[in-house]
Amino acid sequence: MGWLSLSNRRRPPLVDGLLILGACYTGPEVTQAGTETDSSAVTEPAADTDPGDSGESGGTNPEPSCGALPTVVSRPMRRLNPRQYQNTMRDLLGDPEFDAPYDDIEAIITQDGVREFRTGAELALEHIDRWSDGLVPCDLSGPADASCAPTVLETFAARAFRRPLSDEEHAWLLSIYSDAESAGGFRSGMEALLGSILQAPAFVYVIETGTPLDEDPSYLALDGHSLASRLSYFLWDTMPDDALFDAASAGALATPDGLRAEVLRMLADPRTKDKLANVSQSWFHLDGTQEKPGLFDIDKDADLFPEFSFSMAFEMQREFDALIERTLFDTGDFGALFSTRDAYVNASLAELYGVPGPVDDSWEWVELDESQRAGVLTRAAFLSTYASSQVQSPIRRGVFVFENLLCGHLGDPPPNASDVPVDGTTPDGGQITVREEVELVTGGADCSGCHVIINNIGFTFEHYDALGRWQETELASGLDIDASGSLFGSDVDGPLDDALELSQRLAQSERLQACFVEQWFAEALGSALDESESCSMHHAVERFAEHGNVHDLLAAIATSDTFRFIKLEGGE
Amino acid sequence: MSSLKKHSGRRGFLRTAVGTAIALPALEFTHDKAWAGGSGPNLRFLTVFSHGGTISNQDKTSKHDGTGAAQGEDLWRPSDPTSSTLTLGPIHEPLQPWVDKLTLLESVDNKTGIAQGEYGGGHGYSNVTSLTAANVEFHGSGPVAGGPSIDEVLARRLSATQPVPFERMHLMVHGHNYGSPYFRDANQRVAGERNPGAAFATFFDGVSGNAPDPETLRRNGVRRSVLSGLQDEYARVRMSVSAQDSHTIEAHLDHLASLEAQLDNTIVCEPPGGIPGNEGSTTEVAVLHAQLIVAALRCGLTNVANLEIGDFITPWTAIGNPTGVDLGHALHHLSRDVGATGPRAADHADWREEMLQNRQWRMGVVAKILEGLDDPNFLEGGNTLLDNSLMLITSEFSAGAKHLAYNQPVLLAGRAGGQLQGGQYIDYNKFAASNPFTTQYESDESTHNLFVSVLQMFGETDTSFGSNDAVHNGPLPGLV
Repeated sequence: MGWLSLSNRRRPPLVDGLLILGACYTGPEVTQAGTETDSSAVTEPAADTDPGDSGESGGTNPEPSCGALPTVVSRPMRRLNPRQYQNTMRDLLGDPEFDAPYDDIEAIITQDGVREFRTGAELALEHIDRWSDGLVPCDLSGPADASCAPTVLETFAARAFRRPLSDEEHAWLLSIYSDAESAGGFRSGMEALLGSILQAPAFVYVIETGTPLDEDPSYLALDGHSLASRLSYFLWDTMPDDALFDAASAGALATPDGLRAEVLRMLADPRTKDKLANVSQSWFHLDGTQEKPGLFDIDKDADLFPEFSFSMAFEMQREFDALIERTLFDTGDFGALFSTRDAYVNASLAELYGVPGPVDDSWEWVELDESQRAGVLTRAAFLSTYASSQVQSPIRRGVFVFENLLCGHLGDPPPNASDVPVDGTTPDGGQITVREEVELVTGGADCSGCHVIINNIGFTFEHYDALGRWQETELASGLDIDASGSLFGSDVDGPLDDALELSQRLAQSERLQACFVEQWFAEALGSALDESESCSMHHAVERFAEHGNVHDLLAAIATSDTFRFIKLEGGE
Repeated sequence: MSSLKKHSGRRGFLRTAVGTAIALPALEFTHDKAWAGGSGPNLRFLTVFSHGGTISNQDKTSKHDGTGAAQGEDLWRPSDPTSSTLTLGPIHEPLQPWVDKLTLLESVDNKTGIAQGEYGGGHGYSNVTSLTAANVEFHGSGPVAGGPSIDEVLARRLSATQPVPFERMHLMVHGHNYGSPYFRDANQRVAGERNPGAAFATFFDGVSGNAPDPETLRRNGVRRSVLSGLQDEYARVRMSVSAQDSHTIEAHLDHLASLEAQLDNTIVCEPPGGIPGNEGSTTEVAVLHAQLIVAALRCGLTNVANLEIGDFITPWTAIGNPTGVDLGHALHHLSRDVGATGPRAADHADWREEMLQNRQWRMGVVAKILEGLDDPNFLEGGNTLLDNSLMLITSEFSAGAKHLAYNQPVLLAGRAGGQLQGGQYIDYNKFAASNPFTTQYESDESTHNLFVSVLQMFGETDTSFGSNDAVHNGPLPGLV
């Protein structure tokens, strides 16, 4: 049985639909008012030509851009993920040192997760002296202060809930304070109040509200505060800042100009840089998965790679993050991610790349050899993660490119697929190249269906050893390198000389861009796009393709129907 | 600005509870007295889930004899499979002191994994069904179980009759794996705590050899206020969200109630010493986890304890890592190639010894738990904790290289309060009755039946468990 045939148990990606079905968004849009619109431009802002621009300011619902009703499906309520929780607590408390052990990533919260929220709240209260001045305008260990709790509700709780409190919430929190204060004194009352705020559903879950559309009340236009939270968790992985709160309270996010202004402001914020770096690390699985080791799990053969140490893995990630910042954050140039020879290195990385670099502990930007390096796929972080302890791994590298960059689907390996590392050693003790052994062990009928794709991508990286160093001849075998390969199953198919040509080809791939778009939509929405939401997807893909600019893409997502509207479950 | 106001109901009750917290009776740890005071011994259930399978020659309807490319030994089997009296095989040598309290069951299939998985099993399918026997569901990426695992079912039921602060304890010696096999309910996977320090902080929080100090009592009072209040608010929110989200909020509410129950069951018991805050090496973690499990059961903190062991290589054993593989699962895969005609036949001896010492190391961890539970100086009504416990030691595969859910490894330890005789070996392979060494294989028994047996050993009356993939309902024949 071929490996590819197993993929039908999983939802096919919209990337496939994009290439096969064609886009539903085919040009300028016409709003219900009959106004022809363009899409919102970030690289070249057009003040009044956004999707959803009805020509009106605040007070009316934004209009869908893909038809009378927005293309959006019902999604489950989200819970703050560990990074979002950590960042939110730090920003809410004004305590950059806050560090809670919350790590629950299960879809439905576990008991450990609930306990960790309690631990986080108690940990925060232990260090209340580190909170921002005025956040709690009383001394919890001092005499009772009847004005403190109501003030905390008006300021602290509203910020924690990321919106004004409802009357029910107000009464609920005051009753907790009142009862605990009566039973245990002022300090207990305040601790119970603050602890409840920090574990409340409105804090740990992102509960969204909006205004029903006249055409179909099961569709809601997100209200300003819900939209503000969506934006801040999408672009920053934290709660809205004061400016975003103010914009939401003033109704500014309900207008295209207001929404675009906030998106532009947020894209320039360093928190977007952090978000881009984090998402990129996950994209490249540098943090590993349950089944595959990440950059910090790798170990290299001490005889072959004496320069490798655990700290070198951190250095590789630092270079990776700098590359993301220079391309995706500073300029937004997606293509440069796969072509640039700029590298941020210290002495050991400069030596790894074979270029002059710092001789002390400093870091600096250098230019790598154009005959050896082009973009992120030719850098140490990727190459050393996707390798064994001794030799390069064309299979792992090939699978990554096909599945993670091109959204290809290989399915699970069959049970006779071995993960014993290939090292070029033959059963009789002879030596062949890694490439030759891979061809040998994957050449059978059961394997070749997938491995013709995997191997021919992975082989293009044969010039990079298990640490990412350039090798003219294979380090382990001393034999000549053959880095030729080819791309199958993509929109940029064809023979390849090496990884440089692969990177160049990928930089032109619409499929790669669409795959990237799909991942960012999932990041924005908390779950993958549904096929019925292809209009938003196509719209974003087209915007992204115009300049290949990531800023355009993020703005297109943030202004899409799928982002601005929600659908109630079952049409309720 | 609103004025302070009080309301009745749960808050009113709470205020009393906080005020009287100091007077709440602590469940003093008096194991012998507690046992003597009830209608029977308190029973405990433990699982040790060893990821990645064992050293097995199992295929689907046959077994390899070693003459082909695949190796042909089953080192999980007893050394003498012709006898119903258990004689431990090589992997289980570290458990020899407790052989009379062990029961080895062979040829128990994971019929759900076989029926619903790829290739008669597969990684994801075998994992999520091995302890649940439940239908496989999809809610995004990868398969999940459509029901709870056996530990969860027992934990809930036991906590009703044997109140404890924690329904279950779940620790993990971290390593390569394809997902936790433990599920709280459909699509609610439960992961184990990897860090012994964090586990200690959770389970022994507030536990000491003396009655709680005033500050602990005050803190617990605040916790009660918060937990009670949160339950009110989550219940209110549950009414305003969709059915799908309501399910999420209900789970949150359940967990809040569990935390509240933990406060209600204050334990006075001397906690274990020397648990560092940092995670430490794999060998250190394994020992500490075993220590924590024993201490938690002795202190009466829980009725159910789970230990997961990841599928990692063990270079610290005497043989080291002669095969050079860097992944436990890759070590398994070598089993397909080290048979007489396999491409790695020359590596057979190294592979066998490395694999064996790897699995013996895991059994060494089990031995530490058994040693703690079988302490003759810590008796309940004349029995050790092990006598009053049942431990299931298992994995998702027999032969990891084959990814098969056939012949799931099943070793039981303890006597479940006298329900289990111990020292037994039962092989349910239909062909084994006439020839224990046969390479033919077929079994009508499934983990469905195993879990029914487990429940019945704990006094439950269930006759079925999990999906409809079992050949028959009821318990495993001849076990109890």
